[in-house]
Amino acid sequence: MKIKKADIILMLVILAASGLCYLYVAAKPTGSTVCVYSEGIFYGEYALQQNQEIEIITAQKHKNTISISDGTVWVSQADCPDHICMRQGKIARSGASIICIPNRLSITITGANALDAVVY
Amino acid sequence: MNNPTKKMIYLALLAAVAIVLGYFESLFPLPTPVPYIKLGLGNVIIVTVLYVFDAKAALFVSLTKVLISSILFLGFSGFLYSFTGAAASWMIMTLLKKTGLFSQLGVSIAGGVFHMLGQIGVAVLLIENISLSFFLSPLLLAGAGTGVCVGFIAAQLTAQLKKIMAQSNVLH
Repeated sequence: MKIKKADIILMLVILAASGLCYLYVAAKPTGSTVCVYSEGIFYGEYALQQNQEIEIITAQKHKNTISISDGTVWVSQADCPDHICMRQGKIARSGASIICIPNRLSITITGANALDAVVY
Repeated sequence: MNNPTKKMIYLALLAAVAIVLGYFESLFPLPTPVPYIKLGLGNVIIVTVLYVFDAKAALFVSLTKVLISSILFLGFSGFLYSFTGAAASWMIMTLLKKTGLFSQLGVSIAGGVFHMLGQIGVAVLLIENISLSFFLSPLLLAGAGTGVCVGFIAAQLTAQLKKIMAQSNVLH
C-alpha cells in the first residue's frame, strides 16, 4: 500500500484540529455549579465548592454516586456494566461533562468561578 | 461476478468475523476518559471488504454486523450508537475512496474518525446538557490512531484475501 500525499494532509488536519480543540478547552475557566440530568430530566444543581455526595437512582433502580470535593466532581460509584463514567476522571472546568450512557446520566459544570483556571 | 453465491458466502463469513471481533473488543474496555473510544477491530473487515469487493458489499457487511451485534449484546441503545458510527464511517470512506486521492490508509483514518464522531454525535443528541468540545480533542486523536492501525491491518488482509479469492475464481 502506497501512502499518498492526501493521506499525510488528512492526518495533519486531524492533528491540528485536535490541537485547536485542546487549546479551546484548556482556556476554559473553572466552573461554579454542577448540573445533573438523569434520564432526560433536570435532576439538580450543586455548588462545586461545596463537598458533598449525591446519589442518583433511575426509574429502573440503577444507581450512580457523584462526589464533589476539593472543587472537582467525579463519579465514585456506578452500577452500569462498563463503568466508563467512573473512568472519566475528575472534572472542574466550565463546560466539562461526565456521562453515564447506560444510566442516561449527565453531569456538566456550568458557570465560572472567580478563581483562575485550575490545571488538573 | 460469475459466482454470486460464493460472494455471498464470503461476505457472510466476513460479517461473522466482524461480529466476533466487535464482541471480543467489548470485553476489554480501554482505560480512556472518553466514552465510546474503541479499537474498532471490526472496521478492519469493513475496510477490507470495501477494497476487495465494493462499497455496496461493505455496507452490507457493516449493517449486518451492527444488526446482529445489537441483537446479541449491544441492546437498543447500543444499536443507535453503533448504527450511526458505522453509517458515518461508511459514507466518508466510500466518498474518499471514490476520489482516488487517498490510499487505503487515508480512507481508514477518515473512517475511524467519522465512526467516533458519529457515536459522540448521538451522545450529544440523546444526553442533555453536554457539549462536544471537551470530547473532541482526545476523540480526534484516538480516531486517527485507530484508523492508522486498522488501515495497516486491512491492507494486509486485503492483499491476502485477493490472493485467496483469485485462486478460487470468486472475483472474475
